[in-house]
Amino acid sequence: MSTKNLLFEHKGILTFDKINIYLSEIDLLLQSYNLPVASRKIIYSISVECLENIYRHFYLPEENKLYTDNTCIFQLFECQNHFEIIAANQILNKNINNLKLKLDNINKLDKKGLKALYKNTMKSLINKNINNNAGIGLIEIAKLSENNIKYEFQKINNETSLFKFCIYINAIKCLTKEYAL
Amino acid sequence: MKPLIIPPTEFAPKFYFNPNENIFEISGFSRPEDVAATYMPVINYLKDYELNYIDNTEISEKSLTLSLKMKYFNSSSSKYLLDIIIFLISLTKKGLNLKIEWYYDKGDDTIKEAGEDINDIAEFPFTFIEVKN
Repeated sequence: MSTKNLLFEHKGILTFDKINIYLSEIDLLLQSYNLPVASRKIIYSISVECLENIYRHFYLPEENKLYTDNTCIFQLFECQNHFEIIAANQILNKNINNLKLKLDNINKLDKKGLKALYKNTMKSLINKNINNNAGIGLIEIAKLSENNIKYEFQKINNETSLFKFCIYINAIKCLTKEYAL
Repeated sequence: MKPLIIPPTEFAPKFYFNPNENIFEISGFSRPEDVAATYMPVINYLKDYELNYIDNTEISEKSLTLSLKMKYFNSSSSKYLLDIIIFLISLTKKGLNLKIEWYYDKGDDTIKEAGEDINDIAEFPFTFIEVKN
């Protein structure tokens, strides 16, 4: 029997206004679980980065209206010993290799390696004018979750694919951390 | 020099930069849709602060405390917070006596660790202050 319980779901076009509403709902939802502050902040922060990653990077060509429901997906699950987030957005096939390289690089790093990558990426962005997270978001997600980012690319057509990624957030570990204070 | 006071919004922090009181404070929540538009006026103010205050005042003791009292900030905001910190650290070469305070709520490891990461990048002493709820 599956112990995966869907707590929150979005499918379709994502806007900044929708993100704001969703994050308020997620925050309230997490408060109802009576989780410690540390656990709640981790799940909330990862939700922000996932939703903003989808919002800033989704691709919707005119001829792809058929795939609107799959344009942006965000799901938050409660599992037996952890929470899980699944996020997905359409991307251009030509961008897959670059994204795959970034994710594989992140996934091969341990906590110390991720901190070093975060440090180097942040240093490289000093005094540069950016309006998206310029790659810091995925590193932040991996750092906060302390787990690999599982991902796949589902081909839609010759131009686009659905980039889908999954994050495990170990709530028990967060609890232990909190009680150790 | 005129202070820079920007009230908080639902998605942007409060900026209270007052050279007359030697206090620059950023507090609250930062997840603006246009992060550059939120932080560029502050970066520009710092450039004026360098020209009009640090370079052109006769005050022998130029002190400043930067207090960061963030409840939450996203990864895009962290880049701009670092820019502000790095800029102020660069002014220490011109005689600015800078103190950086990083506040976090008791039990909020996310904000504390984010501060430690930025501290590590900035390579400048931070004072970490736990706020009891």
